Amino acid sequence: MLNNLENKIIKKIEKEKLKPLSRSFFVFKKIIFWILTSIFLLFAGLSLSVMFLIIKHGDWDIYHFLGSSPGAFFLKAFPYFWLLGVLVFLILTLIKTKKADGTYAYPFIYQSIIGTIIVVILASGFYLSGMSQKTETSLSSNKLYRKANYIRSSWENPEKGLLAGTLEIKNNQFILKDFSEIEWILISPNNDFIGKELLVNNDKIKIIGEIKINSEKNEFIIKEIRPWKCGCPHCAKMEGSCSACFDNNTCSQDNSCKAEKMK
Amino acid sequence: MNIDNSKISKYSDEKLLELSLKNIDYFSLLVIRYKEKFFYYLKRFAGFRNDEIEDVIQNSFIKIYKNLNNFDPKLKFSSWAYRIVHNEAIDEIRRQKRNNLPLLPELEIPDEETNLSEELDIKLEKEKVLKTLKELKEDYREILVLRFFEYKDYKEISDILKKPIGTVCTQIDRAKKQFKDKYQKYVK
Repeated sequence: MLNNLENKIIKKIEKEKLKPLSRSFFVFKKIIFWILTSIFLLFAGLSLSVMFLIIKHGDWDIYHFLGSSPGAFFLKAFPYFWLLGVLVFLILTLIKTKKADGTYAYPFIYQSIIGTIIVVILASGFYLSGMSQKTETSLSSNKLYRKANYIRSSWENPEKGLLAGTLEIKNNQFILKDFSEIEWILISPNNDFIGKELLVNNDKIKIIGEIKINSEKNEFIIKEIRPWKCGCPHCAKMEGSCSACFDNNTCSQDNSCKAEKMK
Repeated sequence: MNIDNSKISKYSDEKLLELSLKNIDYFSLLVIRYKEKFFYYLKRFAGFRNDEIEDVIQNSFIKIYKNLNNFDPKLKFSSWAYRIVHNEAIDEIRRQKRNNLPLLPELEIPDEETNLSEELDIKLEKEKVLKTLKELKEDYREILVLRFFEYKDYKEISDILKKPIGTVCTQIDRAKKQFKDKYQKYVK
């Protein structure tokens, strides 16, 4: 048994003209591996930062328009999509590093803790740099994303007083084209609403108000306007809640914050 | 090229590996050095038939040759080579499972020279050990074979199986316990 196995192996190597793969091939493979792992970590960090952004700055106060209790609304509107993103990318990273050269010697629990710490650090960076806000805002134009995000989709409920879309100013009239391409004429009989400064042509906005009844046209009475971006409901900054934003003198729309605080 | 065998026998595995990159004849010396060790390892761990073992060893050495430049000098050559053989064996086991071939048909411990009565006792003992090994979970069987038949230390087992040393210790303890429990059955 195994007689002349060495000769058989050498013959096979020579017959098939096999050569040792080059060192640079393995270096390249390792680089690709770590790039892929870093990408997974970056995505996990970004998902965590957006999840945190939504938890901190989502429109959690709109539950009463939807006839829901705060608890039930929280359960429905929790950013599960982003939580799933964090988990999927973190798990992918851990699967890849579990048996990798240089990491397999460390217990899986240590690898998980270190991976989580890196994700939290990355998430802080994304949040502070405004990357999470940019990501969430750019994704919010996508219908599927809005469907997966209960707070975003809640703004497509004009009959419940919540409307969102792109503003167009035509002949001194404010027209809002919602995501179903329906045009709404925005009206304010007493010109008394929060967030007037947000009425900028071609900007996406969110409106709290009500449909004007007995009107032949699609008319919507404005009570409050909010920026489309996730953040302070008046200036979309991310320093804190509306009142914190006002107290710190960081809100670029002080009057709106003040009016909000006075309510 | 002629190789002076007396000189070569003093060369470490790592030196032979380095020389294999320049001359394939040195690689055959590595094969000679390890083929029997791998044969018994595969016999004990996977219980393949002899022809299957030869295939697994051949494929493993081809893989070792192609990956010579990927050898990590921080490891022992034997740990690295055992890892490749182990992975090949796992692939073969999976292939056999997919094709519904019987597993562990010939698990055996090689004979040593003994007198007739001793031989009989040893044979009976071996049968019990083999039956017990066969009943263990694959993870436990492989770790016991590496530790108690291949005499690998914990660090080497950790490098071969790509598991942390702590996990290796725990698994050896659990495997020993499971082995003991199952072995009692045959002693009774």
